[in-house]
Amino acid sequence: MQCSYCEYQNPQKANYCSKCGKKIHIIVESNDYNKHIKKISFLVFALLAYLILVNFVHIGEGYINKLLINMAFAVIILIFYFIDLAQINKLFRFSKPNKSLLIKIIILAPLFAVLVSYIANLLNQNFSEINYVTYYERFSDFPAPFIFAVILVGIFPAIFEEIAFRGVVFNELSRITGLKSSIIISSILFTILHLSVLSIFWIFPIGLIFGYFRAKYRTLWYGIIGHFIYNVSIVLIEIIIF
Amino acid sequence: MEKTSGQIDRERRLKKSEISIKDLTICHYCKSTGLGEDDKFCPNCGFPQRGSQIEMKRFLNRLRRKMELLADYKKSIKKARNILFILAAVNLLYGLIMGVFISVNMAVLISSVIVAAIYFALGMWSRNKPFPAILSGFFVYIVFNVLAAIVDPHTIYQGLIWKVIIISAFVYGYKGVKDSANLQMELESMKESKDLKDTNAV
Repeated sequence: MQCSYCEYQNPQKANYCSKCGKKIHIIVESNDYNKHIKKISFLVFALLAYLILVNFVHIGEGYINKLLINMAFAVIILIFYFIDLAQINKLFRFSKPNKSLLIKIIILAPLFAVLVSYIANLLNQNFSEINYVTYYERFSDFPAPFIFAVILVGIFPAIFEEIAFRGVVFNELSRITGLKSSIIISSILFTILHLSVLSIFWIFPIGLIFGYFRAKYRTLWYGIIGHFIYNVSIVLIEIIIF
Repeated sequence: MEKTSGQIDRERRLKKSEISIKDLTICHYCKSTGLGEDDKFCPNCGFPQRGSQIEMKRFLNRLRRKMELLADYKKSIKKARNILFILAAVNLLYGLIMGVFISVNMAVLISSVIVAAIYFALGMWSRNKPFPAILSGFFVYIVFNVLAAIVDPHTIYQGLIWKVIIISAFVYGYKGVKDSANLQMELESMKESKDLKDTNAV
């Protein structure tokens, strides 16, 4: 191995040049942590800024405004998606779907939704301080509440939240830390950005499961399908029960 | 001319601190064996095996500075971990005071206990995996503060100095983890003795 300073030929596994004493090969490959952390931070802070705006600034009533709010969320995610386009596009591959896993997701997601609805309802009844507004209620002023609820609660979050947390965030994390840590951190961010402390009991496990699917099968589709079925199930349960 | 007692003392100290190498084929620092006659520096750790006393001491001083730096990084990681435990304790205390002692408010109590549990879990996780735990702790802290500000905008200005201190601790902790990882590996690799005869193939 040749020293880049004095051009002396050193033994193969030498860390330092035996003639000039300079380091001749990097012992540990350094990773550009800052670049990846910056990208995650930008996404988190962009989503936080969006949530502050939605909560603080009075944008106005009416379904057009609500649609615009949802569109703004999608635009934020799409910006980050296009920054890492090639890598995230790979996650949309779904060449050999695992049929048994898909069946499990289709069966278990609505069951989990029933359980969550039951717990949320229980919390609502027992603690008057918690003012839980159902998803369906939020679309009551829309021309076709059910269709809009399915689009804005089912399809939109399933696609864009999965791109954000299992796509952008997970990709960046997996470049600087292990897969397990990437699953946990992306789930923590996914949970806390729902801005609801009590929902940690169901959002965090969902994040862990979708993160696991993303890590194991290297696709976002299982997460998107599971997320969609779960969210639509919640809306349907609210329509049936409330 | 006779030497003064001070001069004699200084010479004695210098002689005592002098590095003497008996076997030039064994590195003085990492104890790697099989160093060749042409090896002025140890190929494993870079110790100036055939260098002057000044060069050898300079090497050891440089190494000591690196170790001190590593200790500083570890301190900042510990500080960030302590912040996680402090946040857990403060949230638990707040929940008990506001949710039990002042008035019975189960929502406040449960929320505070959950937040305290999150910080505590992150603190425990930081013992094994400091990087993801500190990073998560930082984001959790920021988001919870924003959440509090959405509920009550006055909280933005409350305890501003504490907020700056906590965020700084997280940032330094993160930097500590990031910078210490490579440095620790480098120092450990330097300490590890090797048989350099096996690696003499160019």
